Amino acid sequence: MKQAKILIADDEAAITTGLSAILEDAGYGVEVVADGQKALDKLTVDRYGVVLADLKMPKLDGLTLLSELQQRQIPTECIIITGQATVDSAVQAMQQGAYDYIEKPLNAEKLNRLKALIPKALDKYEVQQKNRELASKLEGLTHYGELTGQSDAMRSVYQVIEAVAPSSASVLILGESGTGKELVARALHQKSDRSKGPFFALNCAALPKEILENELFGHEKGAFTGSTNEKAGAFEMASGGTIFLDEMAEMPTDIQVKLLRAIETRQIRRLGGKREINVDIRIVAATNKNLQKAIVDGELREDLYYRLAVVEIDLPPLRERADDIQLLANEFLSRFSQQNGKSITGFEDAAWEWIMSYHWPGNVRELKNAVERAVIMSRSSTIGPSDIIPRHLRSGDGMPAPLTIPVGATAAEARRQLVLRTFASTSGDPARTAKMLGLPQEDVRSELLLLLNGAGDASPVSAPADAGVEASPPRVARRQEPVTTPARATSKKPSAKKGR
Amino acid sequence: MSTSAAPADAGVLWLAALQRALGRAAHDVKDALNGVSVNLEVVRSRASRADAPASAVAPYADAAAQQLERLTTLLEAVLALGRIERAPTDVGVTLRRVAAVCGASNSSADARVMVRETSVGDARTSVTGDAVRLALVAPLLEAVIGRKGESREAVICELAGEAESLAVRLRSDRPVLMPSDAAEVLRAAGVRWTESANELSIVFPRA
Repeated sequence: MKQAKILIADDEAAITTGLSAILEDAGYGVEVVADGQKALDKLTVDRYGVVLADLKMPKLDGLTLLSELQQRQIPTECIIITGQATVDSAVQAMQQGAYDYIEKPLNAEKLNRLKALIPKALDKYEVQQKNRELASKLEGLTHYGELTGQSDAMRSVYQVIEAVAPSSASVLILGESGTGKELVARALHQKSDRSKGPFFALNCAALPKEILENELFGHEKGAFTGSTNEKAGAFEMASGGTIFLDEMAEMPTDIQVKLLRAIETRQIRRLGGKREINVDIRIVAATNKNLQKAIVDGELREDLYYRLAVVEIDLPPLRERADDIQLLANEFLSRFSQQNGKSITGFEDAAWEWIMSYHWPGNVRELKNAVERAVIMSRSSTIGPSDIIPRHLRSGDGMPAPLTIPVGATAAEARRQLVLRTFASTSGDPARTAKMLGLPQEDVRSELLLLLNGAGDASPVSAPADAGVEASPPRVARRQEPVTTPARATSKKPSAKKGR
Repeated sequence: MSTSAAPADAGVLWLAALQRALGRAAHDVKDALNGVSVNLEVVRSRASRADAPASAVAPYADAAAQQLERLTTLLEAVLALGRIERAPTDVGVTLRRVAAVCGASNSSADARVMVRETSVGDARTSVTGDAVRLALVAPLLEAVIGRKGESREAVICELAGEAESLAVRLRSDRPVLMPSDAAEVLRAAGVRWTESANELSIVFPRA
């Protein structure tokens, strides 16, 4: 990479000429300006890794220049050269973000100090420049690998993936079911130096203990009854690449011991085998379990947890990514319309209202399935609420779908959610909603408009598990005790019947 | 040779003014020292290379020499003004020293100081050395120091001789005044002055 330039800002020509010669002799590109304003002008249009600024300069002194650089967020490292080395000016310079300061006169000792400071300041600038470039690259990004999302939460995830992928550190991905943990693992693999090697995914919960052990470590011929051939396990097959262990907290503890040994020694032994086989592997694990509880309960070895969780990536649930729901829904609509040979152009407003207000306990997977089902079921060019709202969440058969309002929610929030859920249950009929709730239609419309304009919390109310939706622990701090109430507030006698 | 009696506190006021002037000059001293050391470092570094042509070294040696000369002038003036003046005092010599020290800028808003001398012959005065220095430094510092947001142009100092007196005129783009705290002791010391438009004319009796 081309080395960043140095800008000297000082009105003393005798100093700048000598100083620039010294720095040029050391291999740096140097430019000189005679006052602070010219320095600021240059820094605004060009990039300089380091600015050597005199404290006393015409037009704009060193401290004012520093302050302008901070205010305008101009990336550079500023070293203040001061002839007035009072504690005040030095402290002020450092407080205002100067990299360092050097007192005049620049005798041989101070020049040596300056020469030692500059490469360090340039290194800092380069690192920060890379971070800025990365942040700018990720800004506006809607897709990263196979992941989709433009929310701040997802961009933070992309940043962590980008930072950790090139290392060989083990990564533990935490997140609810359906949030895309395997996609994160794939992205880590694709962005790493191992991307040309294999990616091997294994679900630890899906296999009985014996089969899981065999899948992980392989076996030698005759290792057990019926093993007529030798077989390489996941560790061997993924050597040179990445192994993804999904639902790792479900792994039996005796296999956890073997896994820990394999991670520590980078060697495995097949079932029935006697020789150690070297493996070059990067492990990415994932779980939706509360790991602290699993450790306390003895389900997960603590030493294995620390081995796997060198870096943790916390995947946000879809309800915390309201910015992404529309993007994902449109993407799924486009994908499934194409796959099913349909020309569906979009969602009706009422369908959007339901999509944006539903709390998606099954996360992206649930949204994807809902849109796929809606595309298949739809008989028009747009998706309506009746296409997208699952049958068990509708109340068309006279059975009110319950909704849960946390204690502490405001009456306005509760009313808004009640209106919304009733509206959804009527397949988007405002007149019926108003009638069911005993409210004027104008009130219903204004509540819906508020929601449409983003005034309402997209998911303050959670559907109970008995409503047929996968129950999941709330990720956001919501300590209030929930109160369950039927969606139809007008129903004076809540049914004792559980969800359908 | 008769000398006017100066009040005892002319020396005190002069020392206070000198301290102020030296504080301002420190920055220029450091800048000149900086110029010497930085350019000598280039000379030292390049001269140690076997293949370095003279042209790669000479400009920096010249620059170091110039800075050394600047430093010498300033230090000579500072040291001379710090000494006890033997009577009678030469107004021309004192003016040049005062101009060198007061002209050492401390801020980009400060005015430059220029001295224009006409031949006045013997420029000695009967006024005491401390009073002459105070009479020149006090108004010159006030005229030179730029205020925040207003930068100043040059202050021109001219020495002219009459039969019985010597006059130092300080001219600027804005009024030049004799500071009131120095006025009383200067009058008592036999210094006279007139203020008009942007000019201050300070009159010293010849020795």
